[in-house]
Amino acid sequence: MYPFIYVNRMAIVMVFAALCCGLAQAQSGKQDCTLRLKSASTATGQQLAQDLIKANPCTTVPGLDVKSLSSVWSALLTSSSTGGKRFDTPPPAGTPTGKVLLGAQGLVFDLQSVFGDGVTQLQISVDDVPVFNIVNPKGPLLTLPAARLKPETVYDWVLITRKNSYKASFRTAAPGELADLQHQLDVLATATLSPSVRLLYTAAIYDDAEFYFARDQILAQLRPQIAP
Amino acid sequence: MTMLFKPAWKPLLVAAVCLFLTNAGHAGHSSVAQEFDGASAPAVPSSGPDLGTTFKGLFDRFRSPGAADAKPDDKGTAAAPADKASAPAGFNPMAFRLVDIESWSQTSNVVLDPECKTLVQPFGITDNVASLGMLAAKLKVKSFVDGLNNGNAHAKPMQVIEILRYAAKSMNWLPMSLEVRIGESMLANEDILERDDPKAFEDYKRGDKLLEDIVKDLPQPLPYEFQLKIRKDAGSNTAKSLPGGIILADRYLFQKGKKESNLDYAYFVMAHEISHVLQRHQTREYQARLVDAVDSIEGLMKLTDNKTQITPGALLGYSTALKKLFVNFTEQQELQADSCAMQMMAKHYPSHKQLAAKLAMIEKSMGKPEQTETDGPKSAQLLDTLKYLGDGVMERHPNTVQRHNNLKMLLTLNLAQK
Repeated sequence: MYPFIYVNRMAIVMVFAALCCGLAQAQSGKQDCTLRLKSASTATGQQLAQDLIKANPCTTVPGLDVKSLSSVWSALLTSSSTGGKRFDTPPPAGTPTGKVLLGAQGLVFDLQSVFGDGVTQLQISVDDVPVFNIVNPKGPLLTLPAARLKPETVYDWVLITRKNSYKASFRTAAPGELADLQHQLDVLATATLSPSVRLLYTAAIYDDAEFYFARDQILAQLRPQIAP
Repeated sequence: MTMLFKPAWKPLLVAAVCLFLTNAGHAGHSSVAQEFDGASAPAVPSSGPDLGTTFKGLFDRFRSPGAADAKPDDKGTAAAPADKASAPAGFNPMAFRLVDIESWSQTSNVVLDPECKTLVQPFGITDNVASLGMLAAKLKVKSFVDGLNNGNAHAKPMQVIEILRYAAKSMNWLPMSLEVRIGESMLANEDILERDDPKAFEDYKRGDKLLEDIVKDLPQPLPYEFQLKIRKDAGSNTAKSLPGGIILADRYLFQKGKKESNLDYAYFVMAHEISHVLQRHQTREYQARLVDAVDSIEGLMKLTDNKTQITPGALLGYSTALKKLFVNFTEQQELQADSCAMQMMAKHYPSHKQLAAKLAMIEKSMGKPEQTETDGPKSAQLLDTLKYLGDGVMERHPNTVQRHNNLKMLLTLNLAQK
């Protein structure tokens, strides 16, 4: 009799413990909506951080990973990574790398950072077959027409200046990858936010969807605002 | 910044004491040369038995690498026969402990081993003491021989401080603990994908496997625990290394479904980055800036001492030469890292034919040879010189022609060694 009661009691305790654990797990499974931001060194930066914290990321854009927002904020504060030894010269700022979005105009190569060195050639290929070859461009902005770029394709490019040569690749997004992104951008459009906070949210949406080139373009636009 | 580097001078002081003791303990120049001649055991000098014991102990340590470092619970050491059997053929563990410095330079901005004969540089001043002794002996002999050549048989040997200056330029003396801390602080500024990010899980798996493949072929035990971090930025198909053994890689390097040639390229890129760490390139750069900065100030003082020679041109010329030296140094480091990566590949692919085929594919991935302009002011005009000094470029990669030529030369050497 006693052992039976004892076993029953044990079973009740175990069921209770399991329920508690389940509840705790369910709670921990909830998205953490607290933003943890690195402190900015300038007054404008601190103000922007405060504005960003005011909005609840979980309700502003449902489904957006809060980590992306903090990560974008950290990237904003670090204009460029310093130190370390690279295998190759990194691609100049403004040149597309990784997964890219095509605008209505197409894709822009912004060569302003190296144009002074004397750009002699930009060659873009798919599987070693050249598809664009631009020699001695007249200006620093080169637009590849959207109509001539296929979706979900990897384009390798080589940029040659008189001082250096750079190489990298970009991949055009698949149509399926854009649906969720567009939905989040549409939701963001309805939110009431300051222009800078809106830009940070847009950058976070791009970060979450791995469109880092688009994200970095936004951050480059925001950086002068928080500069000392 | 000052705070960061302050403790780094401690090993130098240790080295200074060692060198002082070396000087005090040896009676003549020629005997010193004998004592440190190549790999033979240093003789115990009659005038300094304690010192002799110290160096003999050190020598024994280098002769049995691993034995002195082994922990009590180690199952085996590098000196154990079983371990020796597992070492790659032709691998000489001595070579990775004791570096015979064949050349030295007035500045630290020089890569002393361009072909990467030594895959792993000695670490820490304790490992460097024997090398330091050899350097001291050689410099003394050199100064003695120079004296003879100049008809002065009683030439003074080099002073401790001079030897120390050479040593500071030729060896690694920044402590590794500091190196690791610098690497970690740099990592905080990097845009990386965390290991727990589901988007990066597969990339980390493939990258870790590649890292493991490279590291297992290196002489053990390695002083660094390499860790891989995958950068968000993708598309540059490249990687970078931070001091202390942190490798940051572009995720495209390990993309699923990559062709064999691309995987070889990824191997080469990762091996190149590991080499930067093992050659302590970033650390050497810090040393270069610290030690050469002293020389720069001295040099500038010399220029300004002689008032008749002060001209804006002389000052600009001096600054330009220093900057050019540094930029060239970074290029040489890149070429050396390529050489080391090539040596690692040679271990991985013992057949010369196979190695040549792999390298051909890697060279293709590196891009067509493109000759770019060499660095320096465009003319002797003041404006061009000032522009060159102020353009902020302190680091540069060798152009593809230089890289291709370097790999070709190494491949020829590899064939000659077969």
